[in-house]
Amino acid sequence: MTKGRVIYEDEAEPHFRLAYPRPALAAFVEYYFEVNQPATLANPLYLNGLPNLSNLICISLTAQPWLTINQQSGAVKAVKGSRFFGNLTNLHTSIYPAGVHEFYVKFKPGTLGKLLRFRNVELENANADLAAFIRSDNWEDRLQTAPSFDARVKLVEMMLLRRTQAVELDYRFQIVQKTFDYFGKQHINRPPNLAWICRELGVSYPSLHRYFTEALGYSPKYCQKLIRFKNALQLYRRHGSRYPFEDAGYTDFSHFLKDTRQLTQRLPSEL
Amino acid sequence: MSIVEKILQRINRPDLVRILSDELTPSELNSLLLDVFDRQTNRISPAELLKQYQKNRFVRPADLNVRDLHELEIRLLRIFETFQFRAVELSPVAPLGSCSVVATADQKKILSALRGTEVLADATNALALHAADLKKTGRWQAVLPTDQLRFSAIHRHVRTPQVAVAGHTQHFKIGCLVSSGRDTGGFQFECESLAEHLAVLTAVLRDALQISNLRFKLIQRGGTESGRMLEQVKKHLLSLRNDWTIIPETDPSRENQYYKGLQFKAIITLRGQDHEIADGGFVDWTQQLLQNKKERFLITGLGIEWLFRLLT
Repeated sequence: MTKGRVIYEDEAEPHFRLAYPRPALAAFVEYYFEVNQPATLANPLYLNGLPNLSNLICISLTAQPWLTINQQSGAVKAVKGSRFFGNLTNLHTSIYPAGVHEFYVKFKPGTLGKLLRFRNVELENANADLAAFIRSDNWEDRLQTAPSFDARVKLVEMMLLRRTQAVELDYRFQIVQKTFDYFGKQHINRPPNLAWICRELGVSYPSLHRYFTEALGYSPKYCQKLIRFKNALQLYRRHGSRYPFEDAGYTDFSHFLKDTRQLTQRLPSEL
Repeated sequence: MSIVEKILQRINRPDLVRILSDELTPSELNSLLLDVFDRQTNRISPAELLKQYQKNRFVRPADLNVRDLHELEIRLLRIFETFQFRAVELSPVAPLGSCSVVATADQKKILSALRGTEVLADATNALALHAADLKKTGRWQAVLPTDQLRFSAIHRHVRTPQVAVAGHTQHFKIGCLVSSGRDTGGFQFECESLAEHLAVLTAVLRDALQISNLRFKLIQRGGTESGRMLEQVKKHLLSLRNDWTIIPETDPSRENQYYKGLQFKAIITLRGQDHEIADGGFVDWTQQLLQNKKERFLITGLGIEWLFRLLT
C-alpha cells in the first residue's frame, strides 16, 4: 500500500531540484531544494519525512494548503504558506491534494538555532508560520517572486550571508559538526563507532555527549542512529533486503528492520 | 387498524387527520399546533418533566468524552477542508420533508417539528438544499463545465426508529461530504467525484487514524446504465491509485432505491471485526430540486461517533 515515500538527495526527478551552498555557508546550510509536483484531489502527492536532526525553512510558492500527519501521535495539521520546520522525532507524512511547489533551505543540525537564537530541542516537530521566526528581509515575498530555482538560491544565499557573518560557531559546536561529518561519510568497511570518532577528535565520550546535548538536545548515539537509518533506508531501496546491512552499521537486516519499526512504526517497504 | 385510526375512532373524529393535513395551510396548522403544545406544556409540572426526560429515548446526552470527540472532529475537518470540501455549520433543523420529498426516506423515521421544519436526520440532504440554493440563486456559478461544489459537515443526526444494534443510539454524529456537479458525458463526474471522496476517506482512515485494511465496496444500484457506470468508475479508480482495494458487487443481495446507479461502502477491520464505517453513492436530489436532469450529486456519510467508539 502506498503511504508516501521519502525523496533522497540524489534522486534525479524532474520535480525535484537540489543545490549545495557556497563554501562560506557550508557550515550552516546542508543544501537547498525545490519540489514542484502536480497532484489532484483524487490522487494527492504523499511524501514522508523521516525522523531527523535538521531544521528547514520552507517557502511556499503556491497558495495551496496541505496536510502533515505525525504518524506516531496521529496529530493532523493543515498547513498553508511558508513554514519553519523543527527537527522531526517521528515519521511525518505530508499529503498534498493540490500538488506542491515549495522551496526549502535545509540547515545543518543546530545551525538555524544559532542563527535565530533558539534551543534546537525546544522546537522538535515544530511546524510553524515562518513569519514568527523571521520578521525582517521580506524573505517570503522576495523568494516567491524570484523567477527560478537558481535565482532563489542566489537570493537566499545573499540573505543568509548577512546573518551568518554575525554568528560564531564555538569549539564545542565545531566538534559536533565534525562528528556529523564522520557519521555521514561513506565507508568501505563498517562505519566508525563513537569510541573511534572520539579518539580521532581528541575528546572523551562524556565530553562529546555534553557538547551534543548542549548544541542539539540529543545524545551522539541517537544522532548517529538517525543518520545510519537514513543511509541504510536508501541502500535498502536500491538493493533490497539482500544488501549487507553490516556495511551500513547494522548487525544484519533484522537489526535494520527493528530500527525502522522503532523510528517510524512502519516497514522499510512502506517508506 | 393503525394507531392513528384507533385514536380517531376513540375521539370520534374520523376526519381529523384529513382536515388538519388537507384543509389547513402549513401556516395554519403550525399556529394550531403551537397552541396545542402551549396548552400541553402548561399542564406539565417540573416533576413530570423529569419523568419525561427519563422516559424519552431522544433526549439523553451521548455517553462519550466530549473533548476527545471534538479533537477527532477537528482532525477530520482539517482533512476535509484541505481536500477543498468546505465545512458548513448546518442548522439543527431542516425544512420539513428534506429527506422524504427527494429520497426514499419515510417521514415517520424523522423527528418532524413545528414551523415547517424537521430535526436534521441527514446532513447530506441539507447540503443538497444548500448547493441547489447556491446554484438556483446564481451565488455559485461554474466557470468550467467540470467545476464542482464541494461541502462537508459534521453534524449530530436524530432518527426515530428504535435502535436494534448494541452501541447504536438515537442521535449520533456523522461526517458528511457532498459533491455537486453536472453531467459532462462519459461518467466523468461520477469517476472524478467518487475518486475524491475515496481519497478523503483514505486520508482520514488510513493515514490519519492509521486503520489498516481499508477497502471500498462498489455496489451496483438501479438506474440507467448502472452496469456500465460501475465498470467505468471501477476502471478509473484502479488506474488512478494502486493503493486502493476495490470490491465490485454487481448483483447485490438487498435492493436499494436510495442510490441511483452506484453505492459505495468503506469497510475497515478493527480487532478482527469488519465495520462498514462509511456509506455513500450517487443520488438524484439536485436533479429534483433544480429540475435539471444534468445535475449530479454524490454523498458520503462517515460514522464519526461510531468510529470514535470503536477507537476508544
